[in-house]
This record gives sequence, structure tokens and C-alpha cells, in this order.
Amino acid sequence: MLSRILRRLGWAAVILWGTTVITFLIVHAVPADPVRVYAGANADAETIERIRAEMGFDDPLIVQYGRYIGNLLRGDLGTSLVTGERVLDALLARFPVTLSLALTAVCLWMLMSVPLGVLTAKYRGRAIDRAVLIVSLVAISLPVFWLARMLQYYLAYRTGLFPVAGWTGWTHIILPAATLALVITGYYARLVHTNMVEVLNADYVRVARAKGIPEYVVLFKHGLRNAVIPVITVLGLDMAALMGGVVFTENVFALPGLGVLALQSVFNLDVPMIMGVVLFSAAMVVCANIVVDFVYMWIDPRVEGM
Amino acid sequence: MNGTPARKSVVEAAPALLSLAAGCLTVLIFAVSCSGDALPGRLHPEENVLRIAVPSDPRSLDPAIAYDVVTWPLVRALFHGLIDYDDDLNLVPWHARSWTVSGDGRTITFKLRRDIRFSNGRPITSEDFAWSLERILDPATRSPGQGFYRNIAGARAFQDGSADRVAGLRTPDPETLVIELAHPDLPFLYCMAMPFAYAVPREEVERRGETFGRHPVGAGPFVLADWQRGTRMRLAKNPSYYRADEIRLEAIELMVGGDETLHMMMFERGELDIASVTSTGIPDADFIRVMKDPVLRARVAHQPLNAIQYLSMNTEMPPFDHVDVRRAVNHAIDRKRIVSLISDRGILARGVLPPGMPGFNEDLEGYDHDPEKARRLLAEAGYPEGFTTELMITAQSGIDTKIGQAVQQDLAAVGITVEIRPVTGSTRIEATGRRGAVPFSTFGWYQDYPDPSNFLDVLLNGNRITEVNSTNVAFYDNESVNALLNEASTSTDQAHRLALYQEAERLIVEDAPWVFLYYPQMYLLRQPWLKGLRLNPVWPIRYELMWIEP
Repeated sequence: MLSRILRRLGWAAVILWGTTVITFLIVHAVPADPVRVYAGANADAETIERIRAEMGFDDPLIVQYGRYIGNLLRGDLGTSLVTGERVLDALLARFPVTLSLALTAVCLWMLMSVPLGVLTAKYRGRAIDRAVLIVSLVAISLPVFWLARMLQYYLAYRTGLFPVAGWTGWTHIILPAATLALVITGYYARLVHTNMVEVLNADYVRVARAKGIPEYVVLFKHGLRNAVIPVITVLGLDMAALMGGVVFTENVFALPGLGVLALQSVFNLDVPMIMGVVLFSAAMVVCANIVVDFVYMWIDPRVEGM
Repeated sequence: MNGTPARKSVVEAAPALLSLAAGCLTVLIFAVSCSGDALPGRLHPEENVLRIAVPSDPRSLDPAIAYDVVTWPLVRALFHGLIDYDDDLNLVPWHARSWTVSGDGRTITFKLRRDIRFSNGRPITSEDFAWSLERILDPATRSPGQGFYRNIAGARAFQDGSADRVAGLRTPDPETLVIELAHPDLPFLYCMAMPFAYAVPREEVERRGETFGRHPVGAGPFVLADWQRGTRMRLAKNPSYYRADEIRLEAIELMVGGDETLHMMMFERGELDIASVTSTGIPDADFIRVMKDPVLRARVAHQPLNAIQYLSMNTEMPPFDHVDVRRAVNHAIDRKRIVSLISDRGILARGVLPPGMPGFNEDLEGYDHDPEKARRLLAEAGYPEGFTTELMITAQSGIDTKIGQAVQQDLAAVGITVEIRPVTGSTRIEATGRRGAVPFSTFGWYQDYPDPSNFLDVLLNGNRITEVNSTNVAFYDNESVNALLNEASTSTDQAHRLALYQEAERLIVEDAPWVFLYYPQMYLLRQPWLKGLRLNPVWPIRYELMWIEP
């Protein structure tokens, strides 16, 4: 068990180090000049060179990378070129927003997809199953930014049921979370469905029914618990995809989360902030996968020995 | 299946429940689609609080750092400068009671008021203004505005580290600031009206260090009350402001985040008092709808900007090194159509200087749309079959895309094949400033101050050509033009200067290093209860003049 955990953590460190190398190279390969962005289009050449020297951008790339890693190991992610804010502070300030958006979305789609998956498995081939299938297909195909705008337009702008945008209370999280959840629910409903169908045909379910155990107990205790294991795995892997969806959703609804921070730092070519956001997101995905691993062991004790 | 009937029925009733839910959703969507377009009433939770929105956090509220059209009005609300503009763009006293310029144009003496304090309570003296200017020039400040003040005597020695102080900044007494220049420079007074030159309190800057831009302390009509990064910012009235009784807004509440489309929705829901405070004003997609709607249209204010939208042709790169080719391109492009594509939000350009700029020459003829003549010029230049070139545009800009496509069509009609190359704004700025890199690119320029030198000298003087980061992106170098511009920049006779600039502009138009497209106009959409909006080309937004009618 312990060696397994250590192995996972070792790999996590390698993955994060690789992320710094790749991001650093990409950010510096972009044919644009962060100093020019900082100084503005109207600044003259002398001003730009003086600022470049002040910022240390005239050093060779390897020196800059060495300096970055050195600082990183001391827990210093650097300072934003644009706002002068410490990158770690900015990330920690934005993270709760993104986390609450992601968690609300996960709860919403699990609450919708698990019952739908169970029902469609139970009533396989019936009208309800087909209807859910079609709706799921449509929902999966919707682009997140489009759905976000539509919900915003109809449910906030036209009717005023929800706030249009911003971040001043819990009601602001509903539409963005619903956007993410609607797109993903269909997929999970099918996932639960497929696994349930398999499980419901298993011998132990037949035995359970034969013993006269109530149907809901059969469905939700014997069936769902086994059917949900693969779903948890996919959920862990999907945290990465969720980060992508969060960028669009946060930007449409102007939520002050990591997605907005990511996009703005890219537009501003704010090198330390881009590095910080990417590294932080990578760390989140790695953590999510480790957590899923342990949840998996908890749900299915057989996994531990593997 | 042997469960209790009640429990079983939950599972079996599910299809019915689901259909019911689906039905409700359909009804809801239908109801929403049918509800009218009527604007909701005013949503104004706080009295006399102006509500605006900006797409992202200002990078800094430090006057030495801030350098964009959204942040400058906020810096102006928080700090105080020596001189300001009136509505006709004349310089007028502000913190300075008066000023004199010596006969040789090299010494400027400001006499300061003594009744103004920073919001921390300390009275402001001439030493504060001198220190603030020195701070701009200090390389460690990384001020993008340092170039405007490098003409102060001793500035270079200070920047290079060979002097501890800027020799040309003197404060004989707390009421007097003397600035000595390395060479005569009339527009320098305009630089003194830029926010870079506003006074900052030394003790607060030293206490806060690099975070002063997040905790600004100034002497303006407002103070920063709250700033949650990425979420909101609040400026509250400064009770100790020396003209506090004239300030009618209690606070300015800024939402941070969202794009212009979103801000437009919020405006129409009554959640914002101004739809957008960026230079775009009204989103492209909404503009025609707004102008056709009598209610919304009545809420539009508009102001021509001292700005120009142009295409830069790199005069060092073939085929644009041939003057006839550049003239042909000018004749081939239909500017009228381009302006109509941006919903007529621009004035056709016939030269470099916009109509609001001193020295604007209304007799310039420019280039009319004449494809026949363009073809003839191309043939004379040795390109009877035309040529192929690449036009660099900013990918995020809807206006650039429209201009690019119109140019592509117009030039195709005279045999020139244009490939459009969309890049990010930062890439475009970098690439076009590098010598010999980009033949043809869209460009926009917004004034720093209302003097022709800010356009002609910065963008078209041969002495601005550098290997990288050139501001002369056409790499245009005409000795006669350079001589005129250099003479004008050191002349102290304004009428003479303007005549020189007009002559230089005439030669530039003849040489056609640019395609002069149009002068943009700003459109501002505000709620009927917002009063005191007075637009001028330098300061379209002045928060200290606004109030909310109860």
C-alpha cells in the first residue's frame, strides 16, 4: 500500500516537472514580446529595452528556466508581469471559485445522470430509454460556450430568474454549473446505463431478486454500487476536461476563477501567471486522479492488492 | 419482484415524472421566448453610486504604470496633476496656479497651490511633483511613460546611474517647481498633463513598494475603498478633497470581468449605468440595433477621437519600396465601404492628423477610390500583373477582420492578391516593430496628447526607426520630412510648428507610406439618469463630473 502511494507521488512529481518544461518552452516560443505587451504599443524602443533589462528577460532561456525552477522549489511561483500580484496569491484567490463551480457541476450531473442511468437500464428499450438517449446525444454535442450564452440569454437576461453574470452570491453559481452539468450529464447517464445493464444481468442480482429483496434495494445497493466503479474512474480522468470547460463557462459568466485568470494571462502574455495556472491545473488533475484511486480502493476492496 | 407497493411505485412512476419534468421545461422555455423585449426598470440599489464594468482588472492604479484608456480615468479619479485640459483642449491650471515658459523654451516654472493634501492628510509640495517625475525616470519603476520625460535635463544621466538626482528638476520653495529641458520642447507641457506626471506621496510608495498600484494613495476626488481582484473594485468619494462639495457621486462601483456583449446585457437589465467604458463603447453586434431603437438611441453620446486607423506598408520591403505601388494601393481601396462596414463609426481619412488635432489640414486631398488609376500606377511601377502580399491583422479584433476582407477584395480587383494573416495583438506589435519582417499590416493609433508630434514624429520620423520595437512601422525615412519634423519639435513658435507639421504631412501623404483609412469615433451608451457626461477627445470619461439623478 505504502509503496503504491509513493510510486504514485513520484510519478506525479515527474508529470509536474514535465509540465513546467513544456509550458516554459511554449510560452517562450510564442512570437511575441512580453515586455512589449507590458510597456504598451506606444512605448519607444529605449523604454522597452530598459524595462526588459529590469525584468531579466535579456538573460538566456536556460538561465531564466533555472531561475524559475529554483524559485519554484522554494515555493515561489513568481510575480505577475501585468498586475504585480504574487502568482500563488492570485491562484489561491481564484481557486475557491473554480472549485465551487466544478463541485456544484459534478454534484448536479451525478444527481441527474445516476437516476437517469438506472432508470434507462431498468426500462431498457422502452420509450423513456430512447428519449433519454436522444436528449443525451444532443446535450453531448452542444458546445459549452454556446449553451452558456443561451442559458444566460433566456434565463438571466430575458427573464431575470438568475443574475446575468458576476460573483456576489451563491445564486451566481447556478447557471454556470448547470451549463457544465447539462453537457456532461448525457455521457454519464449512458455510462451508468451501460454498466447497470451488465450488472443487472449478473447472477448475484438474479439471486438477490429471487430472495425477495425489494427492487429498489436491488437496483441501488446491489446494482448501482457495482455499476458506479468505472464511472468514478472516468470522473477522475474527466477533471482535466472539466478544467477546459471551466475556462469557457467562467468567461461567459464573468466568474473570477482560474479559467478567467488563464485566458487573461494568455492575452496579456503574462509569462509567470501562465506558468502558474498551467502548473496549478496540472497539479489539480494529478491530485484528482490520486483521490480517485483511493476512492476506488474504498468502493472495491479487491483493487488494493493490484 | 416482491417489494412493497409504495416503494415499487416510485421506480415505476419515474417515466411519468420525467415526462412531466420535460413538459414543464418546454412550457418554461416557451414562456421565456414569448416574453416581450421590454426593458426592466432601473435597478439602483445604492443612491448616487455609479455602476460600470470593465473586462479585466486594471493592471495597476499607480500613475507611473497605468497606460490604457480604461485605467487612466480611474487614475485621474484617484490622483491630482499640475495642469489639465479644458473642453477645447487648451491647457489650464489645476494643481498649478500658473506656469511660465522661458524665452528659449527650455525652462518651465510652475507655481503650485498650497491648499491641497494627499488623502493621508499630508499637504502636497513641489517636492512631491519633482519626486514623482524622478520616480517615472527611475528604471526600477519600469514605467512605460519614461520616454515622455527623458527630455528633462539630466534624465539620461540619472537613468544610466551616473547621477543620483535628475539635475533638471528643481524645487526652490514648496510652491515652486522648475523643470529644465535638454532642448526646447513645446509639447512637453502636454506630457505634464498626462497621468504619469500626477503626484504620488513618497512615504506611501516606499511603504507599499511594488504593491502601491494596488493600494494607491493620491489627492484626487476619490479614494480606493475596496478591490477584490477579478471581481470588483469600489472608489469612494474622498471627503478631504479640496473641492469635495463639487463631487456629487458617493462612489464608483466597478464590476471586473465579462466581455462587452455581457456588459450590454447587464446595461439593458438596468444593472450598469454605462454600457462600456472601453473605446469600443457599443459592441459591434449590437450597434445597428441600438441606433435603430429610438429609446436606446436617445441614450447614445458620441465623440470623434484623436485617433487613426490605417494600413502600414513597409517602405523598405518590395514591392512597397516603390512609391507608385503604395499610391496604387491607396487608390485601389474603397475607404467609404470600409467605414460603412463598421456601421459608419469613423470619419474618412485623407491624411495622418485627425480633425480634432491642432494642425489638422482640411485641404488635404488624399486618395480617391480609383481602381483604373491604381492599375495604371501598378503598370508604371513594373507590376502590370499585380503581385502577392500578406496582410497581418489582429485575430481577436472584429474590425480588423472586416478591414482585412474589404482590402483583400478591393486589391484583388486591381490584380493584387492579399493573404490575410491573423495573429494575436501581442504578436502583431512585436512582428511589425522588427525591421524587414512584415510588409503590410493593419494599425490603430490613439493619441497620448493633442499635438501633431505625437502622430507624425512618433510614427513617421526616420529617427524612430530601430531594428526591433520600432514605432515607425512603415520604416518610412524621408530626409525632407525628417528635417521638417526635427525643426518643428524644437521650435517654440506654435504657429510656425503647425505650419511645419502641415508641410511634413503633405509630403507624407504624397509618399503614401500608409493607407489612411479613417478616424474612429467613440460611442457611449448611458442610462438616462446618469448626468454630467462631458466628452472630449482627451478625456472621454471624467468621473468627477458625473452624478446620478434621483
